[in-house]
Amino acid sequence: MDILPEILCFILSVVFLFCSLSKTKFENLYRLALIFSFLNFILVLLSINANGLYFYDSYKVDLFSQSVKLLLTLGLFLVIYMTDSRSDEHIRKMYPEFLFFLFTSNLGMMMLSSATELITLFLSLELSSYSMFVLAGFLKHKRISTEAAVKFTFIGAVASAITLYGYSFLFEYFTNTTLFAMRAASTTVTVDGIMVVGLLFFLGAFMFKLAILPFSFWAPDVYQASDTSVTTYIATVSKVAGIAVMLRLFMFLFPVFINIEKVLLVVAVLTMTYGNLLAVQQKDLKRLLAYSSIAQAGYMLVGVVMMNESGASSTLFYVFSYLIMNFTVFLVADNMIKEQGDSSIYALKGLSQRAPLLSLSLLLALLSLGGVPPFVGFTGKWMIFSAAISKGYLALVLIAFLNSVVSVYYYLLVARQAYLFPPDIKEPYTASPTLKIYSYFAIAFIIVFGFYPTPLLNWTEKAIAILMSH
Amino acid sequence: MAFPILSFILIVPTITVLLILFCKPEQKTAIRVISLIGTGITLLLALTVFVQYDRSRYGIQFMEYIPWVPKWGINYILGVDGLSVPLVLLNAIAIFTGVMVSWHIEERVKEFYGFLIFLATGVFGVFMTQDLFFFALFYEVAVLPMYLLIAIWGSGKNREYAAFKLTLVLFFGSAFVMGGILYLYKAAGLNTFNLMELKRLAQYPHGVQSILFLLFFIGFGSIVPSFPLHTWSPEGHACAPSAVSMLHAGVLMKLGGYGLLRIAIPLLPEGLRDWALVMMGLSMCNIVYGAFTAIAQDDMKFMVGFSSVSHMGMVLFGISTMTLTGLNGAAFQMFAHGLVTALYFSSIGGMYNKTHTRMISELGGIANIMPRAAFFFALAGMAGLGLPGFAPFVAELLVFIAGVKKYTIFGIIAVISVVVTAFYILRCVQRTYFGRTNPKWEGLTDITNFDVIPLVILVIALFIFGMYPSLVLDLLQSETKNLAAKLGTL
Repeated sequence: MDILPEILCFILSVVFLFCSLSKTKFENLYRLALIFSFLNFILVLLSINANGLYFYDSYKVDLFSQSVKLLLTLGLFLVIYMTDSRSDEHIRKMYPEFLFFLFTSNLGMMMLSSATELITLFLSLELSSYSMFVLAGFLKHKRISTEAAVKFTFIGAVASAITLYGYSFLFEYFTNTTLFAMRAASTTVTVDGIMVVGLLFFLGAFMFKLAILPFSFWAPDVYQASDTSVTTYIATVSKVAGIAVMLRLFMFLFPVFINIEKVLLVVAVLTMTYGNLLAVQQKDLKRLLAYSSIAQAGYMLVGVVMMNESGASSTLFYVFSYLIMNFTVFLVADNMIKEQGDSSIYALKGLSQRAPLLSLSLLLALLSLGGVPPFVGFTGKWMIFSAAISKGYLALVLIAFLNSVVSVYYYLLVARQAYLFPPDIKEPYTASPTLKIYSYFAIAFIIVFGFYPTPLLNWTEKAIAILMSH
Repeated sequence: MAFPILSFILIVPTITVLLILFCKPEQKTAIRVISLIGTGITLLLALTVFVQYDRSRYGIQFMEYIPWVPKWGINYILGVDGLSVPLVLLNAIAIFTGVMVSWHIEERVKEFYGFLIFLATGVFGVFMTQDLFFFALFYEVAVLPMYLLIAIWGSGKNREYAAFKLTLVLFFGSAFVMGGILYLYKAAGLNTFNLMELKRLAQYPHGVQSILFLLFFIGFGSIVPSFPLHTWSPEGHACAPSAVSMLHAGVLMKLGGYGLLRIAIPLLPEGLRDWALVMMGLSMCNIVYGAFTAIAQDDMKFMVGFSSVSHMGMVLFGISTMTLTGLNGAAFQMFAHGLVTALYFSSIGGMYNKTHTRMISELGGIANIMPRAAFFFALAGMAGLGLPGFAPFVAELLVFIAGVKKYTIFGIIAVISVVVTAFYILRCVQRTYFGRTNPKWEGLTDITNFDVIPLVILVIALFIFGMYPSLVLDLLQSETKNLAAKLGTL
């Protein structure tokens, strides 16, 4: 069965919902969730080459969707791993509910990566978003957490409304809702100004998910106020899902009838510049990462709107590496935040002397995010920008490279806490063995694919080729 | 397949770094010895390349070619020609002597050697690769560890500021280089980053050449460093630990000149023609302004830093003449200046380890107390001010000949700058090492026999290439001839 992972995800969320009625011990649930989320990952891995259309052309399982789901389930597993016994009391107390929302949101995202019909697309989008609104407000005792969740919800609702408004435009032109039928009908549609406006409206909710301007204002508050595990989830997994939808739309549907590259490139440039410039001032680690992820979304958008194979495959490549890099930063940060109860960048003080391995993986991940060679973030950016330059956007590429210089500055501001200052707590920090294994994996991933991207790139190219095929 | 010696020049230091990573931080001696052996083997490999390079046919040799990402036109190509062979040797000498000079560092030894050798690996990569993707990849590898090396192990309270400034300016420059490289790739339309292919086949229209050359000029100019992007350099030198200053001034700054000679000029000769006058003007600022600022410095490292700005100006000045002699001078100056500054910084470092100050006004009569340190600094000074018999003399002479011929008045100004150089060097030698002995320094011991070894290596190299310049000059000329031909001045 190709959709077994989704089914498992659904069953699990129901199970957790019922668990909330009984008094299940936290440790048992934690173990259960870990095992099953890993099983889910394995299931996706087994179905990686699956191919099929389901539910009246509204659900497509292919290499592309399975690759994305691979990232989603890996992300879910790691996020659950983060919510260990040291996490916030409120989360532990309501752990079944927490898991319920986490799994429903993940289910929504998995559906998002496969949906080929507009209503399904919208439903999955809402399923994933609404669960996240709740997750963001999980730290009920903190006022800023509630405030952030409310902001998140309102902006999300507005974005959804705008998207629905865009739907109505599209339906006016296509009178159909599956992407296949729309693609077939696109030859007869006349593209005019109203259509372009409708299309931009249509993209609203996806831009909200990626925190692209002008839908990015929730990100800093939500990142800062949520529990670190939720922040990580929003910063990594949810971005992957957003990019997946964008890629499907931009590679499968749009190129046949419309070119909105220039408009969105302006948006991309504004987004990355905005994110990078505001990140420079931040002292709160999570807030800084929020702005940095806004900027990263800007880079990814460049690859998406190129609407050619090289742009899309390099974006998918970048998404892969982005997930690993960001998780590395968040996992290390999470450990320090839990230990010191402080989410400012000073929590990392002297890390290189207390835990050299974690510190090295943090350094490499940050540099890689900043696009410094020979790490994977550089290679991914290089690919994206070379796709952009093949269409002649020299100025765009220069701005993007200069942007990454700014980002190197604030990533170094974080790294320097770990490397230049003596620690406040002198005794070494003993990381759990699993975290150490992950750190080695991340270091290897960041260096190896930075230097030799070919295997991963071949994979993403194949996935994109399948995505584009009819 | 022949023995892939160039790959081994990359692999040996990489393995060294890995071995260091797996050492315990307490095993300081083991880490130092591993570094010394690793860089020693690298130096031997580089010497082998230098000796074995076939001087009867020139061109790219020891080539290794592995398709890497064929669809994107990326290939792993290593190969050295007349331009890169001397620079590979220079880098090997600098890192080997640098490891020895850093023997006294006690703080976080493991990380220090790890970053230092990692940096040198990047530089090797830049000098040896013939693929523009890998050029970009290695180019920034060389920049980044510098930040940590200066910020952690540097001296002076400004070191973090200096480290940040250096990193950001160099990254700023490399943004232009990256953009330029990508556009070179696109505009050629050959779907390849292979530099040799591009040199052979690519045709760039005049307008494109002009814009791209400007990008490369800004990018590589910031690392040369060209006025007005030079301000990171003296500060970075001054705050860095000795070995890092050596690598920094000795090799890292050469990446700029190398990039111009390797990529920008052969591919964009018309671009150079458009911008030559600007380049000449800026290089005059370097030469004159650097020399005069050096006079005013009290910190010896700052003085050497500004003298580097002035001497690297000669490289740009030589390039801007667009003649064979000028290009030869520029390329040779890169090599010679690398050796001289390495000697400067290592001898200053030897003294600083004892006195903990580099302020000329606080020192005095050091020659009585530390005759060896004084001797080597004086030698470096003599070489630096262009005394015949040392390598820089040959280089500067070539630049001056070309400069006077092409831009008469400016050439003469450049020649006059040598007098200024002589003034500040001699004054520094006189005030620091001779004169009344400051009683504060009595009782200090001289640098040890071990400290002398790297200095001797550098002096020997300077002397050999000064007395017998054609050893390197012939190699360089084999490439600069092609450049001059492209520029139409042969």
